[in-house]
Amino acid sequence: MTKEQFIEELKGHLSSLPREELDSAVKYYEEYLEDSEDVEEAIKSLGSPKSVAGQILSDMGRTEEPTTENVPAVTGEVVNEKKKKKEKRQLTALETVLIIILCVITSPLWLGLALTLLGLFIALVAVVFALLISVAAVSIALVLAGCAGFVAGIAMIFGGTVGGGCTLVGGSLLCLAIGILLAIPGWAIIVKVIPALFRGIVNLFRKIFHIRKKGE
Amino acid sequence: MAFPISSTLLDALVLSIVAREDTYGYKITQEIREAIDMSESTLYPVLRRLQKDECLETYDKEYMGRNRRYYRVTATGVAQLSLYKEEWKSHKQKVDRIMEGEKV
Repeated sequence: MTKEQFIEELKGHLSSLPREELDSAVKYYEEYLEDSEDVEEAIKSLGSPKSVAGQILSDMGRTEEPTTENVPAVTGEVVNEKKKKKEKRQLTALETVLIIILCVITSPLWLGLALTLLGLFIALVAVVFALLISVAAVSIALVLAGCAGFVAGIAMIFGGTVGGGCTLVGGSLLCLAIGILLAIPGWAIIVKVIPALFRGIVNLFRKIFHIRKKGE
Repeated sequence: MAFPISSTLLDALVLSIVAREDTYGYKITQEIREAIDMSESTLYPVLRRLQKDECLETYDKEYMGRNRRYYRVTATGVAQLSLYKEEWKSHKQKVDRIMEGEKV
């Protein structure tokens, strides 16, 4: 194994450490190998990168606990201060495992909640779609009724019922106008809002998926 | 070497070596290995712990075109070392008394 291989493997095994700790350990072993007279021999006597990393990790797990007991009084104060600082420390492997177990145990709770939210979301999308479709239907109906009424009105005028015919023509034109007015914003919504909605949904799912990937 | 070494004794040895002269990881390891059978990867956690307890501090110095990390004993480290030395003296006397067959 070369020095580079050793350092790379060590980095891999220590990747769970905070940046600062990782850098410090890697720098130490890089220097250690550079200082040794025979790099190959040094790598052999250091043992595998895995065991070197294991030693660092297990020691860190241990030193997370305050070690005041058998340290004489001089460092007592210092260690106590350290203890306070360490309350904001990184999670140890054990804690991470416990958190995962907790998540699994409580899954019926949050799974139910998540499914409820998903249901609400789907309902919301359905409502928006239903509204759009009804607006479109009303608009089309108005236009059709307007056209039909207009033709019928003209026929009535020529058939002798001039007053009734004129009323029908006027009413029909009004229907046609309202239908067209509804169709203009309706069309804009269909063209712009629906694709935007779809894009939004796709992005949302992609985000959720991405976060899960990172979490693994 | 038949006697296993405690982490306190290892701390004391590291502090003694660094107190004599500022030095670097590889050299400390080799010097301790002359006296005790310790694996070469044992020292880094010890140095790290001593740094956390503010007994040691580090600085980088250039050596052959690269940086080398040197260790230096702090005031806390010096006080700690003198305590260790006294502890060791009394420990050694007690052990000797038994081993040499004297009555306690």
